[in-house]
Amino acid sequence: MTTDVRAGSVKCWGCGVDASGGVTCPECGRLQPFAPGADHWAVLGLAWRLGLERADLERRFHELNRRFHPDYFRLRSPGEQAISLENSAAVNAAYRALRDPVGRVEYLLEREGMALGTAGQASPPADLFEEIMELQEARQELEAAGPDAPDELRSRLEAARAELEERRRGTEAELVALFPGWDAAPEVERRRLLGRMRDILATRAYLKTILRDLGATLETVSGRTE
Amino acid sequence: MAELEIKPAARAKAKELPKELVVGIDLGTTNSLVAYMDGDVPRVINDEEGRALLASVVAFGSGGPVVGDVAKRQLVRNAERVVYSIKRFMGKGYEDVKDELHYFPFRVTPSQEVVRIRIADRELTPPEISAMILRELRRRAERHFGRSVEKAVITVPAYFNDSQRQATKDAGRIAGLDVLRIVNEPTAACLAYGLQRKKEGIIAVYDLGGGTFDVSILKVKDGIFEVLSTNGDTHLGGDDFDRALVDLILADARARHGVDLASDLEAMQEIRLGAEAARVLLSSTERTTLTLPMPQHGFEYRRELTRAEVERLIDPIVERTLGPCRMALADAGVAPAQIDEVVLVGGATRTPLVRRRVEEVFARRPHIELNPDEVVALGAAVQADILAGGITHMLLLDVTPLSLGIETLGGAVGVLIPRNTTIPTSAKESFTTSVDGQSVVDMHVVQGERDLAKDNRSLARFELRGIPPMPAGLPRIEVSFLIDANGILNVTAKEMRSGTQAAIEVRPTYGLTDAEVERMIDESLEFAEQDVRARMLIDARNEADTVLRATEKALGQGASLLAAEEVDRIRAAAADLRACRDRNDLDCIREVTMELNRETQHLAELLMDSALREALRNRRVTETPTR
Repeated sequence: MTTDVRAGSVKCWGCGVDASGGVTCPECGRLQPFAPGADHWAVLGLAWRLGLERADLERRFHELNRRFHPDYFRLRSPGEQAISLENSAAVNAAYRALRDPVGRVEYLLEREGMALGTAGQASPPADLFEEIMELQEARQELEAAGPDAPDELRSRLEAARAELEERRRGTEAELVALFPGWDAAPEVERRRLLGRMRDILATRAYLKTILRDLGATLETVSGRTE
Repeated sequence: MAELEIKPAARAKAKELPKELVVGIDLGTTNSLVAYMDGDVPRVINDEEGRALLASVVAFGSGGPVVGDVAKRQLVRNAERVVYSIKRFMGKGYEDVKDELHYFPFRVTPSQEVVRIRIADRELTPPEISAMILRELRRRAERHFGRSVEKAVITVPAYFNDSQRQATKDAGRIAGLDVLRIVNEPTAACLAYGLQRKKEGIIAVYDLGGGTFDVSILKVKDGIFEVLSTNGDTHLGGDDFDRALVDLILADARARHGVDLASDLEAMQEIRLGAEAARVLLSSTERTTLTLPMPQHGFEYRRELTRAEVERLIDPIVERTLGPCRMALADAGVAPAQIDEVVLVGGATRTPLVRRRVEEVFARRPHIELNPDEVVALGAAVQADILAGGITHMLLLDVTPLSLGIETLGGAVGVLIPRNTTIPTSAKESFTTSVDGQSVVDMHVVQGERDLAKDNRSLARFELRGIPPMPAGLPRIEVSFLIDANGILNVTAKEMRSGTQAAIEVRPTYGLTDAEVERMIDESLEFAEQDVRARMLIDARNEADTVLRATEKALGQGASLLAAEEVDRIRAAAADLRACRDRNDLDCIREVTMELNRETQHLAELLMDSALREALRNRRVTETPTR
C-alpha cells in the first residue's frame, strides 16, 4: 500500500525548498512536520470520508509509525527528533479518534464547528420523553424507599436499564448507517446529514446520563459496591 | 590541511566500526540482569562465577558498598546496613512508604520529601542505591566486552507512574549511563518472545515480580508490537507472599514459644529468608520443613509447611492480580477466547497456584519456554538493538498506563490523555477564566483514574501569569500535554490571545504512593459509584452557578421589559437555587435549575429579540472545560 500523505505543503525548515507535510524533504532529506491544521484524515493520508475500514486504518497507523517513530530518529538532529515526536503523536491521535465510529463523528462535528458540548444532555429525545419521565419518577421513588424498596420496583428499573442500554448501543449502528450517504452527498446535503448525526449523538449522550443516574441509584439501593 | 587528514583508510575503518554498544538492563526488585544482542540472539551476561542474576541487594561495610549475593549474605548479621527491595521506594515520599517500613531492617528518615535511607552517618535516596546495582551490572558488561559501556535501555513495571520512571532514569544517570529508553517490563518480555517465535496474534503478558505486578495485552503483526492495554499494581509481588508467610511464623512462634520475634532484626531476616526459601521449594514439592535456629532466644523454630497451606495463605494475594487482568482485557476490547498466547514473566509465576489462576482468567495454558527471570532483560536487549539501528523490522508501540488530566472547576478532572493511549502522544485543551479581569490561572496536573482531582496523584501545579485583563471567558489558554516514548510527561501552556507562555517539566518531589496507586485501581472500582455522585453534584452546581450569573446579567439588562410579578418570580427561583446549591441534594439543584430556566425563558426571548442580543452572544462563556 502506498500512503498518499495529503498533509498540505510546507517550506522545508532545513533548506527552504517546497516539500510535502509529513515526508522527508526531496532536497536535503530532513523530516518535515505536517502542515499546520492538518486534520486526522490528512495525517493518515485519507480522503475525507466517514466510511473507513478498520484494517486499512491499522495498516496506515503501522506504516506511518514506521516512518515517524522516535526510535528511528535517535541519531538525527534535535530538530528532526522533535518533528518525529510530534508527527508520531499526531498519527497516534488520528488513529485513536478515527478507528471508533462514534469518535470519528465527534471529531468531524468538532471540525465543522458543530461540537455537541453540553447541549446533548439538555432534553430527552422526543420519542422517549414519556418513558424517561416515568422512569425518573420511579427512580426517585426507589431512592426514597432505600433498601426497603419493593422488588417489583427494582426489577422494573433493571428492565428499563437493559432496554435503554440496548438503545444506546443501537445509536452506533444508526450513525454508521448514515456514513455512505454522507460520503456520497454534495456539500449542502452533508451539513444536513451531519445535523442528524449530531442528534443521534445527543440522544446517545442523554441516554448515557440517564443510565449513569439509574446505575447509581440501583447500586446505592442494593448496597453493592461494584 | 584538514582535507589531507581524511584518508580513504580512515573512512574504511569508520565503516567497519561495530554498531553502537547499548545494553539492556532489567532492574528488578529481587534480582537484576544485563543482556546484549549477540548477532541476532539476545544473551544475558553472566558474572565471573557464571551467575546471570545479580541479587538487588546493597550492603554497606567498612570497605564501601557491595552488591549481590555477597551483600545478601550479610543480611542476617549486619541487617541495619543492608538494603534490599529498593525498587519499592523509587519515586516515593516518606509518607508513601512509612506503613511498610517495619518489614525492613534499614532506617528511613522521616521527611516531607523523597525517601532517604539512613546508613551509619549517610543518607541515600533510592535512585542512588539503585545506581549502585546498575554500576555493578555495568562493570559486569564492561568485563565481558573489554570496553566501556555507556548506553542502556532500562526496564520498569508498565504500571510505573511518571515519578517512578523519572527516578529510574535518574538512577541510570547516577551510574554513568545514558538511558536511551525506559521500556515496560511486560512489553520487553513480549519482544523477546516475538523475536524467538515470530508468531503473530494477541498476546497476554502476566508479570508477577518480587514487588510489582503488571499485565499487558499486545497485538503482534508485521513486526509491530502494539500494546492494546496495560494494568497492574506497583505494590504486589512475591515479597507479599513472603510477608504472609512471615506473619504466620511470627504468630506461631508467639503461640508456641511465647517470644515476639518481630522486634529482633536478625531473627526477622532469618525468618524472611527462610520463608522465601520454603515458598520457592514448595513450587516443586508438596511439603517441606522449615528450621530456623534462634540461639539468642534459646530454641530452634521448626515447622512443617505444605503447599496447600501456603496456597491458602497467598490465595487472597493472587486473587488481587485477577481484577487488573480483567480490566486489561476490557480496555483492550479483547475476550479471553481471542488471546492467542499467554506469557509468564517474573520469578513468582513459578508458583503453581499463580499458573492455575492465570490459566483460569485467560482460558489458556501459559507459555514458559523462556526463563521467566531472564526474559525481561533479553527483551531490553532487543529494544537496545532497535535503538542502536540493528533490528529494523521490529517496532514497539507502547501505551501510557494511567490517565492524565487537569483539575477543573469544583475539583473534578478533565482527562486530556486517557489511560492506554499509544505513546508518544500529545493533547491540547483550551481553558478560560471564570472571573472578569482574572490575571492568573492555576493548573493542577494529575494522574489516575478517579473522577475527583484530590483522589488522584498530584503530578505538578503551575501558574499561568500575566493574562491581560479580559471579561470572564474571553482568554483562551491552550494547555499541551506530551508523553514521550519513555512514558514521561511534559506540559506547556499558552494564552492564545496574548501569546503568554508558561512551560513546566513535570518533576515531582515525590511519586505516587503505593497506597495511592493501589487505591487508584481498587477504588476506581470500589468508589466508582461514590465518585459518580460527587462528580454529578459538582456538575450540577457549576450549571446552577452559570444559570444564576446569566440570570443576574439578564435582569440587569432587561428587568424593565417585564411585569413586576414576573421579576419577583425570577428572583424567588434564584433565591431557591442559591439555597439548595450548597446542600448535597443533587435532585433539588437540578430541579430548581430547571425551574429558574423556565422562569427566565420569557426574559431571554425578549432579550434575544432586542438589540441586546448581539451583546449577549459575544459575552457568553464559550469554552467550558468539561469532559
